[in-house]
Amino acid sequence: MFQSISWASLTVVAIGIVIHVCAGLGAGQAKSKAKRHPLGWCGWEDDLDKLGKLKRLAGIVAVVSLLVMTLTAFSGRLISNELMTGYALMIHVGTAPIFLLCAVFLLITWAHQCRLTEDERAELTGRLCFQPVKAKDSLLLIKLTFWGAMFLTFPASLSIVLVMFTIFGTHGQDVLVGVHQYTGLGLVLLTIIHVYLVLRHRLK
Amino acid sequence: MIQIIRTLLSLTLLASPLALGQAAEKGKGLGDGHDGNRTSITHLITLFDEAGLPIKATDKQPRPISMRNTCGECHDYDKMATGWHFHSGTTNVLSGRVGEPWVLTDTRVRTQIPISNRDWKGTYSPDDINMTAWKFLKQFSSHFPGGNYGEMEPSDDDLDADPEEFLRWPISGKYEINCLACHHADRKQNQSDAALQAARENYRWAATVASGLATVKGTASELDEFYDPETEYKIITSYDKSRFDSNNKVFLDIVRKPPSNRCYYCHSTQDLQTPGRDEWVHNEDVHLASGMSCADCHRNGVDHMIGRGDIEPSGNPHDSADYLKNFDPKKHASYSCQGCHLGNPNAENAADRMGGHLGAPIPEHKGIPAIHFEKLSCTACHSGRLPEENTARVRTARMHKLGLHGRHAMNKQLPHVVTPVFAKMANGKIGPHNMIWPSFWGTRSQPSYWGTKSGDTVIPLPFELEDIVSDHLRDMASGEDSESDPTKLSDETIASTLKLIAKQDEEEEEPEGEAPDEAEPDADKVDETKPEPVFVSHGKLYRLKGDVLLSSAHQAAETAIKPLAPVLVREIAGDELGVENENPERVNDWIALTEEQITNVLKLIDGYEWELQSWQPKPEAVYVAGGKLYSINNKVLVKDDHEAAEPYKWPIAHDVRPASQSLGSNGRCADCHDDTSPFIFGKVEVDTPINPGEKQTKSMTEFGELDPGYYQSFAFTFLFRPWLKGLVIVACAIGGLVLLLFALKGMDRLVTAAGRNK
Repeated sequence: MFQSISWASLTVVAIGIVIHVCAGLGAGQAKSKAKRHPLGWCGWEDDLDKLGKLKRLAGIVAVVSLLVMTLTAFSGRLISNELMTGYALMIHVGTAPIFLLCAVFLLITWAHQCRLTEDERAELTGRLCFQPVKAKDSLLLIKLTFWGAMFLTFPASLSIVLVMFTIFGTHGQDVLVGVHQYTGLGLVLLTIIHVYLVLRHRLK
Repeated sequence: MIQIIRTLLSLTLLASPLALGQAAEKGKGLGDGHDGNRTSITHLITLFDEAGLPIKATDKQPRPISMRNTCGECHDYDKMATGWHFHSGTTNVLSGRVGEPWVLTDTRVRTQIPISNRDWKGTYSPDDINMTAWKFLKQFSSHFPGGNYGEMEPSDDDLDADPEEFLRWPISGKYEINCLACHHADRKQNQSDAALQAARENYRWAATVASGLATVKGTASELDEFYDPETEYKIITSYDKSRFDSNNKVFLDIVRKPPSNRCYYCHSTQDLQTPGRDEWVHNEDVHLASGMSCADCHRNGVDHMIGRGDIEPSGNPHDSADYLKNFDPKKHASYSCQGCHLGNPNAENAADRMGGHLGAPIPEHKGIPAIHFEKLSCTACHSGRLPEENTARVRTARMHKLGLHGRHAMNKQLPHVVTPVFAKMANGKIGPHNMIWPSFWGTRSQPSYWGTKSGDTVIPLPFELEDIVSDHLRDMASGEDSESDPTKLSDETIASTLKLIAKQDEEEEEPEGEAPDEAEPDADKVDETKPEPVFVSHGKLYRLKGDVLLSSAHQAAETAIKPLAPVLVREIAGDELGVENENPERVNDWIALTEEQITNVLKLIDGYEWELQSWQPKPEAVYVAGGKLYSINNKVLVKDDHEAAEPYKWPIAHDVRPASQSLGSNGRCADCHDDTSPFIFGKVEVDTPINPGEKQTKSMTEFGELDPGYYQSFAFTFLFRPWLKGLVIVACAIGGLVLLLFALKGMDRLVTAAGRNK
């Protein structure tokens, strides 16, 4: 079941991104000719202060560690529907605290910037009511995916740590592992969309 | 129409009493059913002797009880004989999961050979060491349930039978299935007495004496070979006359479900860490301590195919269709560990699907991730001895002849059974095993024989046909190159001999003077695949296709190592091994063996004059011990790893410890995930008569097929696990607070916006 849902959701997101990229190419968006920093794709600028650099660095580390965890968790599951064991499990568990620390740091440091503005709230309300909205250069989706990913990080982490305590029996453990798997999948999907939108926004 | 129905009805009514009468006449299976009444049936019965005559209190020369005739009066003896306990001597016997073998030991010859007819990898069949049914009984009858080898008395026309054994069988009688050994609940039932009778070769009397109904004076083994048991009475059976009522019937306290005490006689295990006077410290299996008996889980029907706990709801571990003919997994799996404690999802009965048989608690396994249940058997954590740094030794009732009382009590130390060894089982899970390291003198040779092949099975020719082949080859020998290897026959010779065998087979099928009846072909023969003559030699299997000789690799032609019977080794190398020094029965443990002795004995075996046919190559002498195979190469003793030297291990499930004493209970991950955990990193004793004082070990990881590097690293991560838990909880608390803060802020906006709207 989880294998099928994973395949389906990852495929849908990938197709969605490809369509979105193609649609952007078709629209013939003009590229800015201003000279960029080599790490500009991740928001790096020359005049960043230390905290700003740290925020970008934490973002990169969080994404890389999430990528490692995704590969270790999903490779066996997607191909042969096998539970993660052996060295893959050790790498997964070893990377998890790094990701979590970075995620908490990002949450604290980005949360204020990711609040919805009046315009974005209006856009959101409009979209929820299926009304036409002005969406050019909107950061609404980037912010929403940020909050979604942050929100899913904590049940994904807590559920698997609770497994390590002698609180839950086999059934409870199954439920917790299920929670971990599905929230983890949601986190990965939201992060993929978020990173895609951020990169697209930066590279405009 | 009505007339036809009337006729059919009257015919049916007539036929029913006739059919019932026939069944009653045979007496088969009358007592095997169950009418639903749960009271136990009172067995006030007539005893019958071997000749089928009733035994009376007034008999002057009463004979011992025959189980076949007494129990068989109401129960289907032959059906019972198909059960696990009794069928091992038959051909095409079911293998089932590997189990405890018989072990032939000889301290002087430094031998311990696992013996079984069940094709368990690592065991040798009695035939492999020329062990006849008679010799098998002589060796293992102390803990023998009767039946199979016990009833394989050679027939009068058996040309292969040993003449001496042929004469001794009628004196000793058959060792019939001893039904009372299990089902007689009387505390007087004493299997030690049966063992004593068996030791005296009084097989016919064993069950009678063990039941406490009679005493016997006389020893069959001391009687002359020409003693006539029909007319002479040198073995006197004296029944306890008070046990007979006025109708010459005897009350036997027979129970359907054998008491555990009966099972213990053959299925006890003694922990050698605390033996003898410290036995009192041991606990029973937790199931028995809670009031259950062995037969509550190890159930069986009339066929006595007792559930061995290995049929789990998860599937048939043996991947054998034959196995499933005997076991209905939907029923049997309900009485496995999983079936009772967790339920059998495939069961037809709703209660079985729920589990909880006889009040079995449903385990919660708090804190144990589900992956453990995929990789480990239930027994890995719950059964056997708690693992320590080094494996321990145990003795088992059958191997070490435990439970013999009085003067014939033994104190056998061999074979050395090492436990617990956590190894991979047939179903791929890791479970605890008992293990022995085989040790024997043997030969290594490429099989070379003429035979017939049916399907994938190759059977050697019978002796009479082999003689014809031998004569034929002698006739052809003049044409062979005498300089070359005499065991290497030319293609022409092989082809002509195979044709000869085929011709002989055809002649046997069509006896002279009897024309084949074409009108009514024998249905059985039409379906039968005709055996094909073959020659197995030099690693190949030769057969004819038309007139063309084909050769191919075949399992039957692979180089094989076979043990030599200890008796033969004593004959060949008795002096070198010091056999003659003292009574070998009283030497109970390994006697040290030096590499020099091995070399000398191997040379003696190499020099032995084997009775070989002209096409058979001379076998090479080898010695197997401590996981190595010793042989002589260029006059130098060499030792190598070899499959034949690998230890023989069998899974164990008892004693089951209480949940609180199970590995990993109450979150004790370090029971296994510690860098010194004996479950993974324990040391397994390598038992060998070569320098037995030197402690040799192997890592447990080798048996569990585990990567020690990975498990060391994994154990290392457990040092940081408390930190990980703390960090995640703190991070989640901080993150949760931030999320809550912004959620409240969002809520504030929402409430404010809602308030602005009039």
